[in-house]
Amino acid sequence: MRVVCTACSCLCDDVLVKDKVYHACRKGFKLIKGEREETSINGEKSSLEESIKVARDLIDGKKLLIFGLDNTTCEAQEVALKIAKDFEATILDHSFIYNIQEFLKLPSIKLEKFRDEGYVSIFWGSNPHNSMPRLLSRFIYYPRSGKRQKGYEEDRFLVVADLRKSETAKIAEKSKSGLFIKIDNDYELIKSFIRVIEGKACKYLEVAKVLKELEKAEINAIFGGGGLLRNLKDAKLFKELIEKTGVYFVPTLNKANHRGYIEMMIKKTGFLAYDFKEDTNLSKDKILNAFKDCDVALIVASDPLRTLPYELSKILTEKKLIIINSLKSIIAKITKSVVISTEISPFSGGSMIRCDGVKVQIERQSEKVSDLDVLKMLMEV
Amino acid sequence: MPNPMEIYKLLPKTNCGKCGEKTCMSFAFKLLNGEKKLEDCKPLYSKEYDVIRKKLEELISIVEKAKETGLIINEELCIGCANCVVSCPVHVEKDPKNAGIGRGIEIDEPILRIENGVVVVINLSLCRRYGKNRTLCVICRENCPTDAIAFVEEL
Ligand code: SF4
Ligand code: SF4
Ligand code: SF4
Repeated sequence: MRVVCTACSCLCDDVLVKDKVYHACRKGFKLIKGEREETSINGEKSSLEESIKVARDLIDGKKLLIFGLDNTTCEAQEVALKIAKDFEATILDHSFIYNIQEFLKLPSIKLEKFRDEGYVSIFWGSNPHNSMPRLLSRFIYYPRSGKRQKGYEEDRFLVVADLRKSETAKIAEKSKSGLFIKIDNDYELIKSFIRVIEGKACKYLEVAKVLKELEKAEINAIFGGGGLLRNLKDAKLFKELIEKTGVYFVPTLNKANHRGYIEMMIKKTGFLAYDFKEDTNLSKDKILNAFKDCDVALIVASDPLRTLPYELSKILTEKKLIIINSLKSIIAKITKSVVISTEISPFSGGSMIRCDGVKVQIERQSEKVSDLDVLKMLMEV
Repeated sequence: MPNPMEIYKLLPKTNCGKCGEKTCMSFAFKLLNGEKKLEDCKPLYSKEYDVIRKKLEELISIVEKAKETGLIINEELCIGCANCVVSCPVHVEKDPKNAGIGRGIEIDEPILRIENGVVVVINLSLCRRYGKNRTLCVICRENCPTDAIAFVEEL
């Protein structure tokens, strides 16, 4: 059967699951064939109905924090938001560490369009080798597609701007049609671009070469990763760079449906994290207290012990937890919690938003409950 | 893939000549390119070399495996990014609508295919490095971010 891989925001729709898993990268394979979570209460196996009932009892009348969500479907995210409203809970995913709202307003481009016409790709604070392993081969550098038929050496130019020489940077450095810029300050790199355009001296001399390459084509893009989105306090100067160079911007946040969560939250609440009890934005400085203050945390499709700073994840381990997840997680293993096992999203059906904003439909291929089913049951019980 | 120095370090290093070579170093080179066999080094088969011989046998088995396919993939390093599959010019020519544009390769007997998260060599006879009109193509190896690909004849 053909499935959409949901292990990262490339959302590869060409994956074939037969006797073996074909075309998915190692990260995707780990999701598709990974060890599944078991439904349990405090470590003891339990039925779905029982776990839902106990979970609901835990939530009723308590201060609830809902966390995770960026790896589940748009439909599940919507229901989670409804639960947050109804139970006056706090809701957040991992995006509170980024300053992404302003970046999403920049001119952007669909990956297929870039594949067919794009020339210069600038990976800035982004190492797709880890976060989106097939991004270069599917869309950015290697495909011979549309107007780009001559192969990467003639028809593409890969730039990596990063603090360290990542695996992607090594490819750029090795290639005749690539360049690695080792940076220690994102602002200085932005300023360097602007200064060279204005004919002034700058810190990062390599930008002159990049600007020359940009002139060769109309479609060029910056792929900004967590490194960039974390470090820049605002997008003002970056916006100037985009305007002056005419390049497009695509965020490369790796969680499969990170963009779906962000778009839903901005549309429905105006913010990335929200406290419905206080009916206000949950700003970065209030996150620690929100974790401390909650009685119960509902964790959806996430393993906070792997993804959150220790000071936050540690607090969660001391709370009552309801964990809705498909694959085994550390948090479920080391805590006494209500764990509800769901189908992995490549089989569960629904939709997700790819990093470039394209909605990808996922066909339901399994009878097992999805995150969406469980969240609905939790509301309705 | 082991290099001659790694092999040499494990040999007796006495230059006894029993293998027919003047030095253990030249024996190491010939062992790697298949001109000599481990059994040609007689001292290795005394008891004191039991542990070392086992290590050498392991290293040589990697070389043997590579010779069967001509191309060796280090599965531990491979992340299944498919840079090699998509950049391979043969795949572009034979599967322009899939591998050529970055999608999973769909022809029956490709050179390389991603299976269970890592690249697998399926049909090396299509590779430009082999056969009648061979060229020194290194595209797949050059574009592997983890150095997971090696060609036997370059080792
Ligand atoms: S690149 Fe991402 S979506 Fe594609 S197969 Fe790998 S993990 Fe799955
Ligand atoms: S050496 Fe060239 S032809 Fe052979 S598999 Fe690699 S890229 Fe393809
Ligand atoms: S390029 Fe390297 S890491 Fe990527 S699939 Fe090929 S062998 Fe594996």
